[in-house]
Amino acid sequence: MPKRTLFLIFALLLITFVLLLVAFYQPQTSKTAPAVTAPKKLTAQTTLSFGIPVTATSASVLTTNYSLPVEILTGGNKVTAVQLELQYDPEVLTNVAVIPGPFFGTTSDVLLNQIDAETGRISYALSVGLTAQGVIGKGTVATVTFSSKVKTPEKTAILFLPKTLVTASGINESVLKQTTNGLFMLGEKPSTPSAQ
Amino acid sequence: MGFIKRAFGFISNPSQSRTTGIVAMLILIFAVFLTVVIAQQKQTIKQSAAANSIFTGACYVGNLSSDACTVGGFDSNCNASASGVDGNTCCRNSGFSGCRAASSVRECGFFMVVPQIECYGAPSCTCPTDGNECTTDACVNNACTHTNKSDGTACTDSAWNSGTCKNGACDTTTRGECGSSVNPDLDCWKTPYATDCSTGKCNTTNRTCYAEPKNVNGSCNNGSGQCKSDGTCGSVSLCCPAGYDTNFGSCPFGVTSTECCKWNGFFNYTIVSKIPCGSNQTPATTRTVTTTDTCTPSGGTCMSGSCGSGYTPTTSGTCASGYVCCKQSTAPITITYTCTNTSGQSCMSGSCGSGYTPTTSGTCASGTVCCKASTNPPVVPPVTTTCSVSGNTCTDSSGSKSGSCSENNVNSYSCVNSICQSSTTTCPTEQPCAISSSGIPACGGSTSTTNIALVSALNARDTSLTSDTLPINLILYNLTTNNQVAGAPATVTFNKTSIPGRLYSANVVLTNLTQNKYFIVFRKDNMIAQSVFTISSSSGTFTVPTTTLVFGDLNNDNAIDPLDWNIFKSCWKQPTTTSCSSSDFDNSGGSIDQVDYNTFLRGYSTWYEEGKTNSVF
Repeated sequence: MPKRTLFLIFALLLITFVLLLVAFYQPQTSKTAPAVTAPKKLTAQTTLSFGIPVTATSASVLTTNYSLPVEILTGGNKVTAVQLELQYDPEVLTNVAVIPGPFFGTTSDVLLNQIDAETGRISYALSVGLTAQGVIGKGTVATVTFSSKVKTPEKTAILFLPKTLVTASGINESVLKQTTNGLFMLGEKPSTPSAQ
Repeated sequence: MGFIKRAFGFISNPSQSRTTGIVAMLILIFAVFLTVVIAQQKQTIKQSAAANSIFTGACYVGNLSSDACTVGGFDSNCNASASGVDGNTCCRNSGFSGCRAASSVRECGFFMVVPQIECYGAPSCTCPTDGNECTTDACVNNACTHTNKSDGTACTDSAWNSGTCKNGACDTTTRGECGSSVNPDLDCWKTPYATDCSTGKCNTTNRTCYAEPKNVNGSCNNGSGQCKSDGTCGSVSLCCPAGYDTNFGSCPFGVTSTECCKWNGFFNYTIVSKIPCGSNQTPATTRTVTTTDTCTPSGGTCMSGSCGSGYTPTTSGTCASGYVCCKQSTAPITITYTCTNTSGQSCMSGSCGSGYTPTTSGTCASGTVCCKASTNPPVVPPVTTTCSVSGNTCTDSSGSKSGSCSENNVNSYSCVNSICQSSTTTCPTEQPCAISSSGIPACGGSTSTTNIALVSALNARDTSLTSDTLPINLILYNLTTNNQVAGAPATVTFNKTSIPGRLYSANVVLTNLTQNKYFIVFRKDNMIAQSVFTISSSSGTFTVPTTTLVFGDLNNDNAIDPLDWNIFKSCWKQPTTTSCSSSDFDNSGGSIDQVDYNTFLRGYSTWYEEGKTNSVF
């Protein structure tokens, strides 16, 4: 075979090889996987409601003492503080007081505790400790204790007022989604609540 | 090396040249075929990406330090997703931020599939306007598109006639709609007028515009108001929630009537926040004596508590709770009107007496007739009126008495049996008593004022203010509309006083306010104080209850609540040189400590205590 022919064949093979390289070439890219986090909506998910009132021991036959838990369900919120603005009927309920519940643990702080027995208004604020983390879950955030003078069965209510609010870690507005007022039958045992 | 030498020897052997040539040609044919196939595949991918997968919606914006091809990660709208489209690849550039331009389409690996929907950023094209006000000119999928605007959109045609869009064209046959004012507009040709509460209409007879009310009791002004039956947007009328009745007069527990509802069947009253009225509800606060009683229409008068002098209770009518229906116990005094003796006439009972003839030139009270002397008129003594009312003032034999406002009560006088008799009407909270510009007290509170001078005093807690003057920022809220209002100067300088309990004081001049109840917040850096005052006349001086500057409003929303505590908590033990400096109430430096925490709690408590004292909370 003439050398010229051989040279031509080698040249063609070389060109073919280059074309194949171009065809198969795949550019390299970064090897790290995408770290994409879908933006999440931070929504108010916490609800407040009243539990079942419990009749406590009474020192007097004329009055009956009750203990009413305020229940919290946080959803996905890491709750750090709760402010309760409650309204009750001062002509029916007396000796009203509020004590912290177990929800925030033993390091909880009472920020505000004002009860106006004349107007029936409760302003009560409770928080986790300054160094504690927000709490997720459900439980009793506070307990309202009161006495009743009614002798015959009578209905009364305790209402959440609009200034009630709940704060959570990382959210700069109230995360309170819903409140459920309490309607109770006093003067008979046991007292039965119903949502209003 | 041996293999290469043998192969070279085979190729260069003249006896094998034919075989070598055929093999070389086969290799060339296969290589050309393979090259063409791969090039076609690439072209198909690019065309598919370019033609079918332009995404014009919202794209995920973020820094994707990703591999070019990763299974999953994005949904069909180019948003981040846990599962991805279909398990195929979604190609992204390293360091990608935002949507890619179409020119930077990245190629996927061999045999990998580009998702049907890729994100190539917003389309762009040249899209000149078509001159039609009823179309929107925009680029869609890189093509200029003229989309019809919603029917009813205001427009003008080529002759500048006003109309509304209909099927992408300006329809001016809606002539008769009215302009931006409800005032008479004789040509009725302007842009259709519409508010939350009314629609502009044209009287086709006289071409005069008028406002037709709509959405009565519905919300208006972004929810801050409620539509009235006259087509205006007024303050929100409140009604009791379901299960409650409206209050009937006074409320228990010393609270305002806006919070008082009667709870069906359980006990007399309870306190619950009223809510805006529904479309079928009558605002609770409109239930007043004058609108609910059946006494007045039957000739009686509703009186507070018991019947006044000269009146006796009657059962022929009913009044609101706390009021009784009263009727005059004696016949009303005969009052002559235009038939007077000064013109030789007099009112005579039943018929004219001897020497007198009836005349129609004067009028008399019921039961009497106007008579004129036939000959020489007898001297008729003038009727003595011992009581008269002029404007807001009633004058009787004991002197003059003027109506006034007292809290939400309208105190007014009228002549009863020649004596100035007082009566009191309680106004709805959102329509407090106000003195009009003509000096008449009435429910409403919408009368504007000229110049109001406030006398304000401040205390301070947990701060060592020593300067003689203190610049204070004022924020003013209308408690009827619940909105911040203009009218207060932004900054007022308070002067130090030597009066115990009044650390600083200032006189503040306000203008152009309505007669209403106001909530004012005083702010000095991160200290705030609050107070409430009522303006009940068009001018004058009003004293604002002394209030206390306290620390705690860390989020500057003019309130102290757990939201501020949340901020304080995040700063606990943090250096005061950071963004937490506003939590260092005592300016002690170092870190946010227990002293600051105690200061916050005292401020929190004082804020609420004074808020309740001022009936704000």
